[in-house]
Amino acid sequence: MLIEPVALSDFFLSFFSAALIILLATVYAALYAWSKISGRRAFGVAAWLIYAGLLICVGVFSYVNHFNDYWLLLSLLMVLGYGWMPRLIWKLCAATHDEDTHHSHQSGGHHD
Amino acid sequence: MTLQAYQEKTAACWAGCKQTHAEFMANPNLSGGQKLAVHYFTVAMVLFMAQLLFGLLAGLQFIFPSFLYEILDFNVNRMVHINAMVVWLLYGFLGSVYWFLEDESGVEIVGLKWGQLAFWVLTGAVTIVVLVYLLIQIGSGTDTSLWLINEGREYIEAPRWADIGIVVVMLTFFYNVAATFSKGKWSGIAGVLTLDLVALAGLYLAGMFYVTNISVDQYWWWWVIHLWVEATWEVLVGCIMAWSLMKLLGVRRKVVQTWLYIEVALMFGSGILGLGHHYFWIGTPEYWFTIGGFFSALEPIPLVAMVVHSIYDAGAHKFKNSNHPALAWIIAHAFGNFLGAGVWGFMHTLPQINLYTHGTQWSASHGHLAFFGAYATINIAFFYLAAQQARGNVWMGGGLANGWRWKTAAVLLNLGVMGMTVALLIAGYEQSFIERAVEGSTWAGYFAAQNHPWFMQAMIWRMVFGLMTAVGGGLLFWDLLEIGKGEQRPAAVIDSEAVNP
Repeated sequence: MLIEPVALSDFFLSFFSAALIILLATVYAALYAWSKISGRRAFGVAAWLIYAGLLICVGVFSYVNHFNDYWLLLSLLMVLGYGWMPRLIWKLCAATHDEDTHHSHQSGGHHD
Repeated sequence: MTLQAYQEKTAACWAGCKQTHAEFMANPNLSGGQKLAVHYFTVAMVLFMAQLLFGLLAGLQFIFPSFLYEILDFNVNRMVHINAMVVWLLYGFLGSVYWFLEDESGVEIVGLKWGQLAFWVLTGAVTIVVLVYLLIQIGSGTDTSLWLINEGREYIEAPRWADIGIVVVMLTFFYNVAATFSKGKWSGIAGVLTLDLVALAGLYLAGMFYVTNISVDQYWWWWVIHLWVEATWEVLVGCIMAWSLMKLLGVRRKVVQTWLYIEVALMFGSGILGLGHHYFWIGTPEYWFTIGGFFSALEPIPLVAMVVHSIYDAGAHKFKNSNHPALAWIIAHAFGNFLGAGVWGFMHTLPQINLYTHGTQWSASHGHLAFFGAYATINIAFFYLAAQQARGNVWMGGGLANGWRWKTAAVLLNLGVMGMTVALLIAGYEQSFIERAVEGSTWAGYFAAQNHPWFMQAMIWRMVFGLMTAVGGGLLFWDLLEIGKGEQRPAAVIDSEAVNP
């Protein structure tokens, strides 16, 4: 078998760390976006602290799920993906809306 | 009551219905496509109520196993509960597309009469299928039963004749959409929608043939279930959302369409091969562990990305909108989709833990919140947009008469579904432990888990929150029938100048 199931004693840790990965990734994304919107550095610092928590959760999740060999690549993808994606999406938001504000303001729903 | 009195009462009721329908068809606020859409929305709401009713009956049977035994068995209640959900969501999607088709294309719907005929055929077929489910509950499975009674595949149990009917209706729908855009204007939304409808109808065919090897059969069956729900439905909802956001928040078309393309790329990029998480235990090769695990782990990324965009929009738009109930339901969609599909999905998606959780109430917990958050909320938001237009594009902002109704309905429905989700999670956790991990998936383990106090208590709490959901659903139905009636103020005008200062 290519996988080793979670040990019974780690059952709670597995599902709880998985839930925390998604929740912390979201809080990180939200704080990152708020730091950009408000320009307050405190939000940016908080975002990095949350991201540190995300790293710990990915570590715990990888350990209790017995990740080894190429499964560790999944851990790396999660760390990079959830860290990088909010930044990319922010840039896309800024690019699309920035272009929007430079256009003549016409009401929504018109064909361009 | 004598037979004659009963006949007179029935005739009066029928005449009343015909009168209401005639008055509705004369509504000057709606186009032909929008009138057809309201037909779809009405049946969708009736089926939503049916889903809640049969869900309550099935929930009661967990607590009182002999309740309605051999009268309305659990397997039938569960089947009608889930089928009603699938069909009411589809009715909502079809109605939403008919609603905006003329506005988006700039011309009247091509072949509207065929669309109207398809609606009545589909509704008649759904009625017959449900009646047959209820009237013929037990019997051996044969070729005849497969064609006329029940195909036997979970979630898509409709007999073969109804399957063919569904495909014909979907082709009619496709014709309406493609021909109308071809005659009028194509747009980004139009292109994505039309291509998605090809996939939607095509994938359904994968669930229409029978193979004696159960692994092969399940392999194709999941194409319908997973790829509909986690790929084509997501894109369909993306198109509906894109149009709604232009109307509701005044977002510019170019912004909406750009994001629709990004969403399609993200959804298809992770969702298609995320199919692998259904192939862990059906007898397919082991490489599906890796494919399913990796792509399932990527599936929440679009949901996290959505958070960034929501905050950007909240900062730029300040939530200025023309329809408070619809906006509230779109916010519920953002949270529900993220929690239900993202958090609840990832908790048990990797094979290392799915080995224990697969097929327990954990799946039901994930299913309840994900379907509600991702799809039911969007349909309800659209129903409110439709109600606003149907009543003359009236005010639906602050200070709305009887505004308590939509707010209470929203609170009850959201709290009810969330409560059911948590209760089912507790039940699923207990099953994963007792039935799977400790007892090793034995028959005795199954019953040990079913009779465990934690399981029973969780099921009682599920019932309590299920009742809360049902009350919320009833209130929602009432509100949709009444909201905006007698309102004289026109709807708030939201344009991009106002929202992009």
